[in-house]
Amino acid sequence: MPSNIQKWIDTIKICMIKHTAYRANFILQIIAPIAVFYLVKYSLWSTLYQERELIGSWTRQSMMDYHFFTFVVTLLATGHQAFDLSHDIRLGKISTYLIYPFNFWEFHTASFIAYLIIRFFIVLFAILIAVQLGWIANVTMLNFTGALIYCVIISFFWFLLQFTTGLITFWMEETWILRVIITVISSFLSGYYYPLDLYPEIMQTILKFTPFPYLSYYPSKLFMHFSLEIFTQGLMVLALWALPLILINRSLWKRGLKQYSGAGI
Amino acid sequence: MISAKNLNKNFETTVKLPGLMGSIRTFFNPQTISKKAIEHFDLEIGNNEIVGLLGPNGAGKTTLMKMFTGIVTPSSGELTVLGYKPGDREKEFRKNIAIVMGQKSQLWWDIPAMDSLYLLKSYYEIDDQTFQQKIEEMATLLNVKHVLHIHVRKLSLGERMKLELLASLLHSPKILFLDEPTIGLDLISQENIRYFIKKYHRENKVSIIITSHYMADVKELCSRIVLVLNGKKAFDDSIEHFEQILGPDQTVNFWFEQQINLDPTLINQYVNLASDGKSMQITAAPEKLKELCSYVLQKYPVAEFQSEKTPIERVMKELMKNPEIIHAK
Repeated sequence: MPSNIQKWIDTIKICMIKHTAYRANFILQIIAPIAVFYLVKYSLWSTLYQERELIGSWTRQSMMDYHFFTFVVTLLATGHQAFDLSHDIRLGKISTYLIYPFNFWEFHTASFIAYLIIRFFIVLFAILIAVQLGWIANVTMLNFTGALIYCVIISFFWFLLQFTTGLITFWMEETWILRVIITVISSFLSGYYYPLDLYPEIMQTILKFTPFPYLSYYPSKLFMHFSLEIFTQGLMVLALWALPLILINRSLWKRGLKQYSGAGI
Repeated sequence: MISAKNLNKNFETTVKLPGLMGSIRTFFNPQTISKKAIEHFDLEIGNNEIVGLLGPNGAGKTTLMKMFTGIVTPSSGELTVLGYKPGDREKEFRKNIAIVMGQKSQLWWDIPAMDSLYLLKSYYEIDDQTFQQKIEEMATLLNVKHVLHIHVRKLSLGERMKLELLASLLHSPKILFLDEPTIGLDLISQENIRYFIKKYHRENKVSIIITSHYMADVKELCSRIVLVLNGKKAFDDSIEHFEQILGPDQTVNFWFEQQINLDPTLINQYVNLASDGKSMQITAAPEKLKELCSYVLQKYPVAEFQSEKTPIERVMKELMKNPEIIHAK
């Protein structure tokens, strides 16, 4: 096996060990999302549907399914890499990665993949629980597999976005507010709070040209009804946005390193 | 191995005014200053040397280390290490250097050290047999075999430092950078680490560049000293020459059983009696010192005496108080 692939595999393994090092924390990671979903979204939408049958074109069950799947998409696709990254830059921890013959971006990408693998199993577990408890209608294998593949791909887009945000720490010591802004805006525009077809039509048309709907609204719909057209359209739009993001990312890294003082050593 | 010519490094820093009003003023009108961390620095280090980079805090020692390892890039000047420009961070270059930072752990905190070592084995492409052999040899010598499978966060500082050293040497680097490797360690651990470094250097012919505020480290390990003051090279020569910056004088301290009064023979520039009359320091050239010491031993009730073990420490103290001495020399 080529040595670089071996380095990636070993890093992913070690990061999985790291992510699961604290047993209580790991168990809470599994329980918390399911509990939060039940306490917040399920209860809220159940109340809203007590006095009506339809909201837009959405029945109570389809709305529950939609929200469960936005939850699954978020769980699977979004990570905390920007936080890890800015922490490493701020405390001078990237010095270690500048010395090892395995690059900083390689380490963080491997760490993200490790996290994704763990999350993948948590998501499977969450879906199983939700189906057993009757929160969601049965999902078909085609919807399920197609949507999961799509989610894994968009998680890399999220990672790229988070990595780029994290690199801003080279200039701004604290980037948490930036992360909060991105999370709030993307949650609102991606359909995490409400299905996008409840938004005004003009807004829906504009949003189609941005990456946001493809990060939550469409993947959730793919879980409910798989469509190859949405699948390919989503990937094409995200690829178009990913290209400039990669260029910005590389430029920030190069400029950031010139700025880096290796504080802490 | 290392060649630096007219090396300079400047850092831009934002000046923050004190207090709430100061913070508000800084927010609307930030002011940056450029600090010269390293200025016109020339240095040549050859194979198999152990060089001590000395200087007070903030002198620029660590900045030099960071430039030599490629962690930061020089603002100007020429720098090559093992024939590479460290700032390019080529993988082949990184495979041939190692750095141990006394104040920063490079091992993963949440997992046993052995897992970190396996990852390094993969990064440096070390074959199984060499890896096992290295672990066996070094872990035995450093007496850390029993802690290899314990989470790093649960280890003592001394054990962690030994494992950091072990980890840094797994890939047999050609140059080892040690940034305060014994900081915060007890005396026994310091000695163990010094012994290990010395033995490793003797057997493996690796070049070592070390910074330390403990002069015992420098005395024990280094053959050459490079003194850095305010970002500039102030001295670069053997440790013997460094010890003689203040002249060839040596010091002996005496402690007496009871208070003494100096007789006229000892009232001179060499002798310094403590105000309580119970201890005395004599600093003089070797011949004169011998003469004065025999006189004191015969004449007074000496309880204990001690000759200076690390004159280098006295030199450093004097230089930090008065850096002009070096220029006068």
